[in-house]
Amino acid sequence: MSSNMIMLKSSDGASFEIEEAAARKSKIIANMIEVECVDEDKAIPLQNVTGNILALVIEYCNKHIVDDDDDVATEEASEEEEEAKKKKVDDWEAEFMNSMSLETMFELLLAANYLNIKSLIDLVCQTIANNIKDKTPEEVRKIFSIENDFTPEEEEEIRKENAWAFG
Amino acid sequence: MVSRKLPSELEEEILIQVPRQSLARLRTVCKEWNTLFNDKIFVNKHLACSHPEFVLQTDSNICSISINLNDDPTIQVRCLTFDFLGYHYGNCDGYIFFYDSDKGGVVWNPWLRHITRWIQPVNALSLFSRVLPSKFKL
Repeated sequence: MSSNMIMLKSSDGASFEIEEAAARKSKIIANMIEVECVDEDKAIPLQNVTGNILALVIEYCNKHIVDDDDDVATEEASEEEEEAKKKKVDDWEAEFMNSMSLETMFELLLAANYLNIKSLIDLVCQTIANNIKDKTPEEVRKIFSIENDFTPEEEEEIRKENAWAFG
Repeated sequence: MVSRKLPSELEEEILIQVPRQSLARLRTVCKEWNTLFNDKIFVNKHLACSHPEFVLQTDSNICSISINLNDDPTIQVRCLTFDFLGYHYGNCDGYIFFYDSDKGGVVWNPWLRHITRWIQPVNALSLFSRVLPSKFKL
């Protein structure tokens, strides 16, 4: 495994050192490395990601790079071991997401989207979905910064059509 | 709460993971979402996503079973409140279609607990072409 280190710089000026293998979880950074845009002495500036969010992204990437290496190294692992490992990752992800507010989740989602880390996008989307599934339309509007563009009559009409779901 | 609105493709990624009963409730959030939830591509993605569904037939009943594998896994069962014995039937995208050569056909949507009125065929072929392509709501 390559242990090259890469420097990342957040929009608010914080620098982070990360293993190249972990940084490659981001397709954007992986592409930069491929086309040799990365200068070893210079940090990669990430203008859309603040330091506190970048720290979370790096925590996620570090955790998952270890897991990916394990997958390669233990091809002959038994099914039980595989399952135990998967459970460990699931537990880690649940705890990781549990520790943050919805607002942080939205910022993390935007960062994962900007850095193009598919598995993190999926994880955050799933967590937000679980979070909003029992909320009222009004609460969801607030969470997503959406304005209600229905007239009261239109809203009532849709509510009637979907009365089964409001029970 | 968020300082800027999420791009709509990310909103869509989230909403694909929301169970359909919640989605129906969230139709009133805004016009864009209401339109999205009727969009055939979205509906197909949503069906293919995380809620495996299948139809189970026993001697006396037909049930639609939905498995939700979220962090709180649940199995939901909807049984048909309609005597299906003696009818031909088939299912597609979670809907069940019953057909009788005299009475015509009906479509059952187990999740809306809704069954259409009998739809009279001009002939069997026209019945299928009238019923099947019509737009179903989630």
